[in-house]
Amino acid sequence: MLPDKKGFFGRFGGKFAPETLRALIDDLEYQYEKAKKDKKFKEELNYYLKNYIGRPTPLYFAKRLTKYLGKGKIYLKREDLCHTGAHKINNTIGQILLAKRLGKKRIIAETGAGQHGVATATVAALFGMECCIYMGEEDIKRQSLNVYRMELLGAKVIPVKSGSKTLKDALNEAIRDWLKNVDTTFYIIGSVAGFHPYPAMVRDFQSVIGIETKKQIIKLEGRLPDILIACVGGGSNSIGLFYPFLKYEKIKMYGVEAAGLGLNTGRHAASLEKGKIGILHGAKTYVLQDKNGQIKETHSIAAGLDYPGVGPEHSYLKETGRVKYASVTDKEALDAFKLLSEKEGIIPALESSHAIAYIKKLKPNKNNIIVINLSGRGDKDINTVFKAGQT
Amino acid sequence: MNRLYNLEKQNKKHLIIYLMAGDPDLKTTEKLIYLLDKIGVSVIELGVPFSDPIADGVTIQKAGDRALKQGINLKKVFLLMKKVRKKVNVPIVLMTYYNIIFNFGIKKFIIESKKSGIDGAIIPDLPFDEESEIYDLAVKNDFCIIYLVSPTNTISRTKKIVEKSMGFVYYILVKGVTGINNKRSSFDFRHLKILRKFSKKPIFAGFGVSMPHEVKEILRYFDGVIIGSAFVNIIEKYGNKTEKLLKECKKFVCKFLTGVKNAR
Repeated sequence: MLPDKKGFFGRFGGKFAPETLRALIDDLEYQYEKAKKDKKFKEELNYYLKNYIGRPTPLYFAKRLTKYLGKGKIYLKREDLCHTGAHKINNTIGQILLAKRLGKKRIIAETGAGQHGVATATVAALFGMECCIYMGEEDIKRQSLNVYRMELLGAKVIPVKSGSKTLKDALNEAIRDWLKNVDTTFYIIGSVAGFHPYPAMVRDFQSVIGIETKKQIIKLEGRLPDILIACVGGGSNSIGLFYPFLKYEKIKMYGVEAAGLGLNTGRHAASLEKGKIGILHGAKTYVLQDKNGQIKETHSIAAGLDYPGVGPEHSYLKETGRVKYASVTDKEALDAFKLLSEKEGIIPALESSHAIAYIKKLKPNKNNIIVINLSGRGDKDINTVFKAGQT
Repeated sequence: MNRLYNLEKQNKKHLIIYLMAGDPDLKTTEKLIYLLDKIGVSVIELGVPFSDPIADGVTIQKAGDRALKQGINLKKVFLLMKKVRKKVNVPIVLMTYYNIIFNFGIKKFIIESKKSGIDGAIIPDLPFDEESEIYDLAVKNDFCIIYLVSPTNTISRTKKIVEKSMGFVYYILVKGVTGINNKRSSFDFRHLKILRKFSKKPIFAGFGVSMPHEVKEILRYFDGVIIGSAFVNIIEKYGNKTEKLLKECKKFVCKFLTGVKNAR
């Protein structure tokens, strides 16, 4: 079972955290292990998954898309139908229940596009907790609607002015806040990144995606799928889908990163394809960095993929070859965004559009069952897509 | 033998000054090192900039940005050190984040550091129980890795950190990041007892100290005091006015030195 006792997936992961956080993350690890075995915790989590988030989400056969592409039989796992419009809330609800258990009253989180920020602000409102969201100044400009949503939900959005003023800097600032407020505050990390136990904990909360998919596909098709596809930024929706299927060796899995303007332009976010092993935000993993070890600024049209690191378990799965990682450009993602809107009447998030775009690069058997994780809905991206269409 | 090991033999209290290499430029850094050595600072902590310094407050973040704009990297710091080592014998340690070292290569980092006359490294995001390779290499090459103890550490962990730390132990006085706007937490005497019981290594305290009058109280419990952001603020203030900068830095450090001497 991975991670190991020290929080490693092979040689990736770990607890590269300042000592001030150490007691806290050790305690979090202990409490999480305890909660996992606690029937009451599971019951409470399941209650909110069902009644608040609206799970299980459908596994939907995309008939017209299947016919149009002529590549296997395509199913979409509809995480876009979760409350707040993306898979992010599967994790925030789990973590806030843990925060409640630990007696914490204040919640902090980082956000890039604002989806994780909204999902965190939502559950903080649900449980009446104080909530501060760190968001890069650049992202605040790009995602003003989500900033307003968070504020409406009672959260305080704190602009981050350091570094590149985007997601990685928001994470830095959230960690600094946590260092100052260790006694009162719970940090809800939005992806499978960060120091142990976060990568494992977020994976477990997101695994509900794969667990449901397995039950649903067996009911629909009488067998397991052949191919799974999901987009990878930090990698929480993809690991959520993949994890429960890892043991079935015949199932092929593809994680799709953001190639931005192209892998050779230097303007992308493909940490696994183009990065080097390094240490970022507490974990050893693939990181986009320059020759001196400075973290690079990234680019993707999908703000949720715009991160220079990746969850350590993905680095491990890349190294073992269990999951194949590839990438898709902004343009290919935009085409897929339009394609799914037209063929199925579903407007996907630009992040999820990367996963959809990748089918075109696969050569599946006609009878292959393909499951794509539709991690979020695309309403938040309408402005971005509109602007991209004008240039 | 490593210069840091002389510290525990000296029967005195110490002042440690942090500055960022290449802030505002490497020439000024060089002059500042000569100055600090001359006026009697016990250890110089030389920062190597990193794009994502999670344990640092605004002051040192900005200093790092200025240094990065100057294109400062480990190679340039080693060159600078080779030069200054011909003139000064004060112990000098690097402070940087683990990715910078890992990217450079752990073994190469320690060997180059030794060759350049660097005595040790403080790496706030590298706990003693990660990456045993760097620890073993440091021991083998007489290079000190200085580990940090936080007031939030458990007693059993504190004991282990103190055992592993080389040269001295870095005690973090605040819950938080570096910077002068932090409120110092009230000192936990259980920690001090443990620190003292398990080791004779000097214990230096830092984070959040900015005024000379604070020194006396801190040195009642610790062997030395580390000044970082407050000193970097002066560098930031005077920037490229080198003469004025050196004069003001000297004035600032001397005030602390007086406090340290009186605390003896």
